[in-house]
Amino acid sequence: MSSLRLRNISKTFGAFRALAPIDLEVHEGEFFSLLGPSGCGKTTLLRIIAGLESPSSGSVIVDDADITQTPPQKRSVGIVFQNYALFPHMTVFENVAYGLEAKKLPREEIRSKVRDVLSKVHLLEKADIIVPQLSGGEQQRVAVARAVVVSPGILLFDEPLSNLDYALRLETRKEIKRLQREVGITTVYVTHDQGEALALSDRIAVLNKGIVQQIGAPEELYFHPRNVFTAAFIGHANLFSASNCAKYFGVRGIPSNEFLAVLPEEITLSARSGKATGTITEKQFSGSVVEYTVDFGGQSVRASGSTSAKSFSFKVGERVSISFPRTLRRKVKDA
Amino acid sequence: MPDSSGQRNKPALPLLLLVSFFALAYILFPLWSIVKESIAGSAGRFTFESYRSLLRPSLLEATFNSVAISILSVIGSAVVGTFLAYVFQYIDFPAKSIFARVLLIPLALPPLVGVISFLFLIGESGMLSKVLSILSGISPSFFALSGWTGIIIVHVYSFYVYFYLFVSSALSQLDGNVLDASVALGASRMRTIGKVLLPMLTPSLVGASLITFMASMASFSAPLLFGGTTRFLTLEIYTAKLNGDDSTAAALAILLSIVSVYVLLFLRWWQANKSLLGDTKGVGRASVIRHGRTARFILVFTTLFIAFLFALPIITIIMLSFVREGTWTYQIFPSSFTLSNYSQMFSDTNLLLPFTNSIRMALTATLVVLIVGVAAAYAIAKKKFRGRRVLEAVLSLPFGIPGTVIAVGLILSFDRPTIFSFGSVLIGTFWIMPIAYAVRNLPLLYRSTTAGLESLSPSLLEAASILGSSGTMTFRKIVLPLIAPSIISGALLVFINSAGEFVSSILLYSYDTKPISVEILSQLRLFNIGGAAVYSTLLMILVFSVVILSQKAFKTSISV
Repeated sequence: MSSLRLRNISKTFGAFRALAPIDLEVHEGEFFSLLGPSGCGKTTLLRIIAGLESPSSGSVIVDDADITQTPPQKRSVGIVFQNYALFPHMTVFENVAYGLEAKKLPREEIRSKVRDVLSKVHLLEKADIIVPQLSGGEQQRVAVARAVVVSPGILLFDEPLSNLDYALRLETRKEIKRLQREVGITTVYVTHDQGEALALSDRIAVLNKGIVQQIGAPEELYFHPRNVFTAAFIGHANLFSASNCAKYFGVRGIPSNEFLAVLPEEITLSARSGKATGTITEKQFSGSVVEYTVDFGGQSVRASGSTSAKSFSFKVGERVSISFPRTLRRKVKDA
Repeated sequence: MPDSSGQRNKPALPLLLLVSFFALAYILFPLWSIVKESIAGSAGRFTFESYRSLLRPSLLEATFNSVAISILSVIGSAVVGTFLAYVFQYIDFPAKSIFARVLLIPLALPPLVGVISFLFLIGESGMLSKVLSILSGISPSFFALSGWTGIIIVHVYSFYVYFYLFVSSALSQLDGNVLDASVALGASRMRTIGKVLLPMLTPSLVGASLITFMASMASFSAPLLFGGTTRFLTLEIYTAKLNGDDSTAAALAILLSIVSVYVLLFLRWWQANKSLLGDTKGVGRASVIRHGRTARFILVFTTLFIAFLFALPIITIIMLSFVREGTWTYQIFPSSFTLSNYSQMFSDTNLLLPFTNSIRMALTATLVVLIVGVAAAYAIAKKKFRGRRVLEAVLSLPFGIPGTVIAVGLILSFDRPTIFSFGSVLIGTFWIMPIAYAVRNLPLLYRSTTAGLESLSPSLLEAASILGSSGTMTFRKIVLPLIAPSIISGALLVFINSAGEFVSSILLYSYDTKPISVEILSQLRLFNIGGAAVYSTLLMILVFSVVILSQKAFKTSISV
């Protein structure tokens, strides 16, 4: 188990700045996510930690040792790739044993370690099967087993669930969390899915355009976003300008260059007329939750609520009034 | 994702030196020798005299003939190849897979054997000509195909495969729903074929046309045996070289190479820019392509007839290898069969010598190509170094250069001691032909290995290195096993091509190193038909057993 510190890490490809200088710290045993839309630099950052990419500036420090110049072979990291990168000509056993063979461990030890980790991911009975014959979910588990069997100081995940279907994704998410807690390994997890990051992480770094927007625990990012990007990306929050707040919702004291972020579930819609009214343009029913999009003077306002609430049932085209608790003071700056 | 893993950028120096030496010594230096020869006047002065001689009417005629026969060969091959590809893609009939195999025979058949078998079939005293003559009462020479018709038929036989393979693969990748969509939008069947199907096939048709054109321009055996007195560029080079007119041979070689390399460059450019098929995997056949009973019968019947015609030359030559010497000249069909041609061959070590020569030289060439080609592909695909593009271009060059030209270049280079031959004369030794075979076939293995390497996902190598694997371990346990099928199928193709190589051998062989292809021609010139047929049959057995072996043992298929 190791701790990881990135100091002043930046990366440019030609004229393109993929990463602005970044400082962050991952504690021992922590599950840390790098979250952002595609092209935000999260994968580049992960590859720099792995040593597959060298930073344009800055240093990577593991347990107080600077490993910026250390080749990937000599770093104690494990990685699970998006496409798993399993060796297609080898069996499950051979794939998992590969890293131990590179370390030249005695054969008996390799055998017992591989069997041990395969039983943890419930693949022991598939040990002798050639990898391409496995299902997507099984391949994913082999990739995890191969990465953890060498007991790396840090485990890296590069969007490991994006090739799985929705149901399997939810299940595998739990498996990964369980395994990480069991092994207690320091983990850096790259994803663009904020639900995934919120569910799995101890802390999350939100990235956009190569810049860290905010670092914090899931609840903190969700309820206390510091800027517009985080508020919109994490909670799909509605952003009301200072003037609108004062005019329609009776909320004063928002600085003119800031916004009030209101989460969809904090919005109340009602058929009674009020100050702030709009027309429902979309309705998305997804079982327990129903979500409306309301055209509010050109701004699309998102409102969601439990379908069991009788008061929350409208039709597309209906006029509704919009409101939220006046006590809300979630101010966010424009990035 | 930019590839910049620090470990993989350092080129392995010994590999690069080896590859560069080969490229410099056996590809560039011979080409330079040709250029030098073409502008060398008397007393070491430069002159363009030899280029002026290209304007002689006889050579202009040769140029015109070569281009014309190539265009006609392209048209003929396109018709036959596209027709067969269409039928095999869209119509089912019994024993289809067996016929599909028969149709690929010309791909593996050594060109000279193909030409000779046609000679026995439709030549002056060919069996088919005689049959038609008996049936009609007209002299057989009327039916004998010689000159242009003969050459075109042989070319179509040898080169239609390019169209067949290219169009087949395009049709199988084509999304049938696209055609259905066209019909659903109200287009007629003809309009769908003209406006949708044909444009989607255009890249394949153009690609096949260019390759066929190049192959026809470089063709040597067919003009040699069927051409009579008609002049063609390859023949003129050969004749000039035999007559000792080196500078004219060199100037002609340069002319022919420029045309071929230009076509090659155009092909590269075309393939890089036009791919209409996209990523869609073939989603079955379009349901709009349906044929009535009569149409299907006609299509299948024509196909079977073509397949029969394709098998006929081979059957002929195998049959002739069993005919008693001197018993066949006046009858239509031979009547007296014997094993004596074979027993004679295997009892006399001198007669078997060409066969063993060819195998030894082909094995040597294959080994050289394996080492140089794999090293080159690995270095160029996975390392970064200055001049990588140039090296790649030089290594692909022999693909566009006719065998005759390569042979002339080697002769002009190594008929004297050079540093590239370590101070010895290579002409007349065992080594010159394996070198020629290696040069001619290097692009083949280089390309199949590169294709294998390119299909290797970079994240596999990254995964290996993160797991602590050294460069050597990664190469041995990951790279090599995964690209082995590409390498093996490439190497087998190199061996097959080398074992039957004729075009450069005829200029390079000496008495002791006579390869089987040249021996076949000698036997023919001695009117020893049985002998020529036996050698041809042995060569075919060798080639086809290698093909079958490769399919059985390695599950790889030999493809272009």
